[in-house]
Amino acid sequence: MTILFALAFPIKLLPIFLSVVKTLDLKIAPQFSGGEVDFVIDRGSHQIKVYHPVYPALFGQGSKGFVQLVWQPRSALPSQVQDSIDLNRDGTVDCEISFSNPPGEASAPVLTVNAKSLWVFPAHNSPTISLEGVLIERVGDAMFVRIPIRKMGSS
Amino acid sequence: METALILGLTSGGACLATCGPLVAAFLTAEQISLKRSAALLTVFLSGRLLGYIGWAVVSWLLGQAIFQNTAGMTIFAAADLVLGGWLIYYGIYRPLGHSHESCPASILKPLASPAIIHHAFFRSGIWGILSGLQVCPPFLAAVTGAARTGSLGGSLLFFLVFYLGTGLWFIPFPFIGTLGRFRQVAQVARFLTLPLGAYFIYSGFISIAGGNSFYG
Amino acid sequence: MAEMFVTPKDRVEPLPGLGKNWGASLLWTLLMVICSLLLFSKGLSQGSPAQRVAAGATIIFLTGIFLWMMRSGETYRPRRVFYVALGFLFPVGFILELIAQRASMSISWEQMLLGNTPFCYLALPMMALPAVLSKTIIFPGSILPTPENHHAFGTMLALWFGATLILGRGWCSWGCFFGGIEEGFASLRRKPLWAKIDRRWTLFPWAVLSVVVVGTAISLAPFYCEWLCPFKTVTEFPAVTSLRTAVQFGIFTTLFAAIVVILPLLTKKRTQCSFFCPLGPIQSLTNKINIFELKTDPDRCVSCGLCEKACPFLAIDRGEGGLRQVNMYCSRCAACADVCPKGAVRFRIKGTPFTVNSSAPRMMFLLATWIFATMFGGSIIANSVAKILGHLF
Repeated sequence: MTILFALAFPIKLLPIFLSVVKTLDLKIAPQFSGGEVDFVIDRGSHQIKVYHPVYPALFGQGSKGFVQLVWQPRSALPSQVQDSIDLNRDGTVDCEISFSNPPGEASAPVLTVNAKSLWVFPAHNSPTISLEGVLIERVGDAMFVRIPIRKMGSS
Repeated sequence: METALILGLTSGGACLATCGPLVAAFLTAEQISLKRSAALLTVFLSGRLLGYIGWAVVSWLLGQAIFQNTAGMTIFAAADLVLGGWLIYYGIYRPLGHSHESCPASILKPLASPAIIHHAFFRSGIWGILSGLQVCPPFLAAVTGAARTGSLGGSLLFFLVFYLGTGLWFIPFPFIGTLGRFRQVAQVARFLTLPLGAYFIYSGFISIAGGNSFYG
Repeated sequence: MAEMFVTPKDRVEPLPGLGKNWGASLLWTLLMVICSLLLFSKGLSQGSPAQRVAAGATIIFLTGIFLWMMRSGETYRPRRVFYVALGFLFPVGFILELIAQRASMSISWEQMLLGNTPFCYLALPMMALPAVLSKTIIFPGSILPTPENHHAFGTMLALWFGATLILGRGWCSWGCFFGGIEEGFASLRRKPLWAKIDRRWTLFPWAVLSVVVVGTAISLAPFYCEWLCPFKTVTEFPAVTSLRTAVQFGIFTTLFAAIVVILPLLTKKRTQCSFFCPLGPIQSLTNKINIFELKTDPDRCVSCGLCEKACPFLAIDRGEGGLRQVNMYCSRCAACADVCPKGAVRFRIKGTPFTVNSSAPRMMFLLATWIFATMFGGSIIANSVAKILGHLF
């Protein structure tokens, strides 16, 4: 039986096992995946994907987290980008984000976050230290940014 | 408080390894039923809690004294380095408690002998207090952790969480079987002081060298 | 001290069955060749010239190893050649791939953001608690395989699960490529320089397992991967940009030097696997559900202790009257079975008595195991060889 199992495993059993894993509805922890896209801001030359805030915790939600934003250009991002973002769509600007986008893969982008709401932490970062902290990373043509925040609406 | 819980979980097993045979002597005696054994254990753990509360107060007083000093944080960081090394030494070289002489509270053992205290429940309570007053590396680490909180409430909470972490190890105690299996569990528990010691060394080093420790 | 390994002809009672004649050996080997051809068919027919050469060379290599096992009746030494080759070729291929992609062994943030970090089975024990509590996998990879990431969580879980059902802790001697590195260093010396090892250290992996499970649940990051894995030295690691990453670098390089290189060299034991790896305790528990086991026949054992000296995992206990017994930490490497002068330590199918034709359980174990080894280890060897050839030519 073990021999038959060993023979059958790569051909038949592996796909069956993977479909079982699929039914478990597991997800990669949002502190790594960045969470799900909440809404998209269209700026003409580029789009900004704003993700749901992530508050990592083993149970429920933590008190601190981050919001991931992705600048996706239609052609190419300019060398200097500045944007005001309303993260929770309440009509008020929560932060002003600016970053440099120097040409060449060896040059690291530099991020500055001016917090306008109390639950957004002001930040300045270059280079990226961790996925959970302040982050700016070029991925292809896009720019991934993560800004640390407290619980939304808190002071 | 995560530090307190981790400290309790990792060192509680080591405490069990050291003082366990002594606890076993009065918890698992032949004529004692499971119900009575559980009751005696409850009294023991209550006495232990009283001992921990005492230490919480001492830790708060210690913290007050050290925080007055501008070099207080450096003192704590240095204490972390020393404690970390001692925890690692404790985990490797301290023999497993196979006799009651290895218990740090053994010096006070005569006070809790059946000749002096006849009632088994009262005796269990005294043993609990004595085991809560012991001086061993995990306990000293808890003292520095609690002292750092800077307040009596913080110190009490720290020791309460530490107590819960250590106490979890005692719950299955009445059900632990042969001495061989106990020794394996006790050895693993003793080994937990090694990563704990490494964490304290890292924490002390980071505090002195600059930057945050892993959990802070 | 007697020779570590004696050939069957030196034994008082030679092992029956296995290794009897060329006919039987070639027949079984032919079966394995057919399996290999089936498993490597894609590489042979559709791959680049380097991949075809690598696939062909791997099939010849695996066939040679299996024929050696069949003809000699030994398992440990042929297995060791395969396993050490796997252990050293995997990191070579991995590093060549990293250099080709990024010109660096540093972990790529891009790879993590896109969920393309290959999942390592060593992270499996840490994933269980958060997966149960929050249905999330604490790893910057993907759940199911994608075109960019074949080594997804689901794939590695499936592979590990399948391997465990077939091998139990035999995964540690036939599958895990990291173990091959230290087995290579352990086999360099003829005799150990440091023979007396305190057996309580075989319990240390349980402490490491507890620490990584609790550490992952509290830090919400793969604790073992971040702080303890010695094999980052030969795969990939975070760039040293802060005091914290510098300390992490110091820890894993020191661990690699100490327990993967130096201690195995001095003791001739698998010290990382026996005294540190957090997957080890889990694999040992899976021995309980595996149908194969190595067991000592008390009627044949003469308490010579050669098996205990030979075991790289310190998985042989001394019982009453000096009778040696294999314990739960056995990795089915068959070092004990090969060295036993009386054939007392033998493979057995659980629940069956020791039989006169005692080679049948070993044969069944080897057939199942070698099919798995061909699929898993063989494909890694072929991929790595293809990368090396691609770089050279």
